[in-house]
This record gives sequence, structure tokens and C-alpha cells, in this order.
Amino acid sequence: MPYLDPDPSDPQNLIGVEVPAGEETHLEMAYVFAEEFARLGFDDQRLLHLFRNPFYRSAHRTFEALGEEKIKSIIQEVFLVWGRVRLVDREVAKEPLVQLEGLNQNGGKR
Amino acid sequence: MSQVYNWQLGREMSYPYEGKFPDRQFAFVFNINRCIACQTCTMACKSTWTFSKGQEHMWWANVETKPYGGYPQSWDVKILELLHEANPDRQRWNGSTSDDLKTPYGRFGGKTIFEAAEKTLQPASSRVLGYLPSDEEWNSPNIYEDNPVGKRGVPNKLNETGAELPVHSTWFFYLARICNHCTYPACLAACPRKAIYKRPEDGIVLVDQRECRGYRKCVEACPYKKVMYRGNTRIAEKCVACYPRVEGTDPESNGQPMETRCMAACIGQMRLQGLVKMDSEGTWAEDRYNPLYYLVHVAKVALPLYPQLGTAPNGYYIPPRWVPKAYLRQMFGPGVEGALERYNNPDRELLAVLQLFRRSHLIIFRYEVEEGPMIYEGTYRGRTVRIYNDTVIAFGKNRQELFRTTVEEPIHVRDSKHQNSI
Repeated sequence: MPYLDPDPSDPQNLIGVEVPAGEETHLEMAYVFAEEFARLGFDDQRLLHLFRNPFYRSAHRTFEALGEEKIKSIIQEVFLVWGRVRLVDREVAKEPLVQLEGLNQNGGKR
Repeated sequence: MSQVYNWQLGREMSYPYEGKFPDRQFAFVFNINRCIACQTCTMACKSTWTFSKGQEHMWWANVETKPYGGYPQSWDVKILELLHEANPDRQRWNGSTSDDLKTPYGRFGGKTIFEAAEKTLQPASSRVLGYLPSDEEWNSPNIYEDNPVGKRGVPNKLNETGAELPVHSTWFFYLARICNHCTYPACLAACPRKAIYKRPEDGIVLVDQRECRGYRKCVEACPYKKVMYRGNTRIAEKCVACYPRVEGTDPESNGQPMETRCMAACIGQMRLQGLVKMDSEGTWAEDRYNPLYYLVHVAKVALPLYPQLGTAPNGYYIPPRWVPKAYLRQMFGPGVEGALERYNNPDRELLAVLQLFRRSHLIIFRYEVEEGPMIYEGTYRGRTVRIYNDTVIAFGKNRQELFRTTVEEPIHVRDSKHQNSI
């Protein structure tokens, strides 16, 4: 399929084809990103930044579609549940359990 | 062809070789709900393995925007169409999902790429239905994602109104992909020189570069298009699953099995990779507290990518919640409804296991959950949510503890200097 000269009648060429979505799709997308990243430990400001940043296209698309106020209200709703906890990691001290033999200082095999 | 059992299809199927299964199998779960297409995984792989001359077009790890994008372009649409042509209107699933490890998604009644080849391909030496992508299809790995548009014929200048292109009101999601190190690899089946092999210790599929002569049968056969041809050496190359890390022979790993570069680099924490136990028939041996086993066979929230192709891929995906179900069913099989239902209403154990993603670069072989008190109960979007102060503990290969993650309700203590101030 030539990239610069797409054939509009080619059924495999999806340029500009809107695949139908339910009305709730953007809302669901926004809730999913808010929930997932709240659970990862993002605070509300950092989460809002994720939605505002056009580099993160999917989150930003919901921001464009729903508006900043709606996104803020979603974040607030999500944080009422998931913002009240934090995750604390305790790593076990990293000690080499197996001494590798036959490795030189650069890590390559002798 | 031999008859082998494919548990993802719930039945036996034809395969050019007898089934041989590793002791443990390289496998991974990607949570699509968390992927924001930052492409850190893509660059981690690129900068480790495919930075040399002749590898410019190679992206062993990539993230594509579905439903439009694909690397190579339209790879999944094309192979699905070939199967449809080979077996019109019969590519359907029968039965229902079950708790049986041998038929978790019911039974696939259509033809796999191996079975369709038996029916449609000539000569008889053609073992797998596939196609060879054109150069143009390999050239745009990130096609249709954030696509800046320049004026045609005007190099090095963006269209000034490019930012005002119409935005389609539709759904999309990011599909991160690497080689699935399939249980029944199509690349291995198609190679006329037997230059592709599956390692008995971890099931990683590799190309023997001394044996390969660049016939590109593997490129044609792999339905996921994860084997790539290198023009300047005239041999095929593919994802090696960062095997020195998985073996624990990478100096950074201190002798412990470690997850691949693309997994370790994931900032969205949507990737978990491990080694699962296999039984003698090619199904997963029961290993209840292996996190991958739990996600695939107990919680059943992680599903194989296009299981109907028949290669028994070892990459599993937690489907995106907002995408139309019909599309997801085609991509992940009949387990989609159940997976989404459980992921939308996660129980205590699932919430704990989801905290294992990307807490360590070492491979987790087993987990335990230490239960704590309930710290919140309320309604959220019409359903009851309970949060517990649980701790999930991860263990490594030698049963040593790697880390523990606790859900805690933070306590804020006012310092003595400001005890009475508000």
C-alpha cells in the first residue's frame, strides 16, 4: 500500500475512517486513565498534567472531548476512593546470591 | 502434519512438527489500560539490540495505535483476511469459557494458519498461511499516531495548519508488542533450514544466524510479523527476549533471572514478565501463586493476542475497558467479557497482584498476600469498593523475598513546632 498515495477504495486503508464508538467511550477512557494512574501513586496535579499534556494523545483526547472541568471532577471522584491510600515498597537488600565466574570487568565472557 | 494440543483453542490442531515443550516458558502480561504510548519500551529495545546499520527498520518492541496503526502496516487485518478467504464465515468460536485449563476459552471451530495452509497452499512444502509485507509497510512503525503533516514535495517543513487537522471522534488504544515466543511458532514451522529453534529451558524462540540463509519464509509465516529481514547481512533477526537477563547471566542481574529491557523500562508500569511452568502436553502446569498463572488462569483477566491464529502466543493482554466488545473479541477471543467484568470489579487478590507490576526488575516466581484490615468501604460509580491494608510479597527463583508492597492509609503527624497552629 503506497504510503504517499493511498487508494481511498482500498478497504485496508483506514485513513480517516471513523470506527463507531459509544457516547460513553471518552468518559470511560478518562475514568480508566484516572483510576490506573491514581493507583500507581500519581497525585491529582500530576494526573491533571497527564491529561493536559498533548504528548499523551489518548488521555489528552479525552481532555479535549470532555473539557477541563469534567476531567477535574473525574479526578476528584477517583481520588475520593484511590487517593486515600499510598503504596509503600520495601525492597530486600540487593546482595549477589550467585557469584558469576568467567566474566571479565566489562561483563563479557572471557 | 502432526496433531498437537493447543489449549488456547481448546482442541488439537495440525502443526508441522511434534509438540516439544520447555520446562518453563517465557511469558508476559501487558495491561493495555495503563499504556500511554510513551515508547520508552520501544527505545529501550532499539538502543540495546537494533541500533546497527541494516537494522534501521527493525523495531522488535513497538507500540502501535489501534485500530488504525500497525507495524508492519495492517498486519493483523491482512492475516485475518487471508484466513477468512481460506475458510469463509467459519472462523468462529464454539462453546463457552470454562475453568478447565485445557479449554478456558471454549473451542475454536475455524482454521489456524497451519490448517488453512494445508487446504489452500501449493506446493505441499508451504506449511503456513502468511504473506510478505512490502517495504512500504515496514517503513512507518508509528503510522497514524500523532501524525504531523508536511506539504507534499516540500522537505523539512511542517504544514502550518497541521495542528488544526480534524480530530476524529472515535476510540483508540495502544497495543504494545514484542515477539510472543509462541508455543507453536509459525516462524520455526516455516523455516526450510531448521534455523529457528525454541530453547528447552525457557521457551525463547531464536534464529541461528549461522544456519539462516535469508529465505524469509519466517517473515512470511509469522502472523504477528515479528521476524525481520536484515538486508546487509541477508539473514533474519528477531526479538531474543533479552535472554542473558532472563538467564541471569547478564552482569547486572547478579545471577538472578531478570525481566527484559522493554519490561524494565516501562514507566506506565503496565508490563509483567516471567517464566511459567509447562506440563508435558503443552498446557500450563498448575502454579497457583505464580503471578502470570494467576492473571491468566485464576483471575482470567489476561488474554492471548489473536489466539485463533493457532501459534499459542505467550503474550497476554488485559484488554482496554473502553473499546467496543466486538473488536476486543476478535483480538483476544471469547474470554473478553469475563476479563473486563473481573478487571472492572477487582477483588482483593487481583488488586494485590496488580501491585507487582514493575516493582522489581527481577522475575517474580511466586507471591503471597498478607491480609490487613479494611481501611475503606464506599461506593464508586455505582458499585461497592473495599480497600484493604494488604501486603503483597514477591519471591524470586530461589524462593528468596524480592520486595513487599503494602497499601497504607497515610498518617500525617503535625510537628511539635506547629502543634497549635491551623
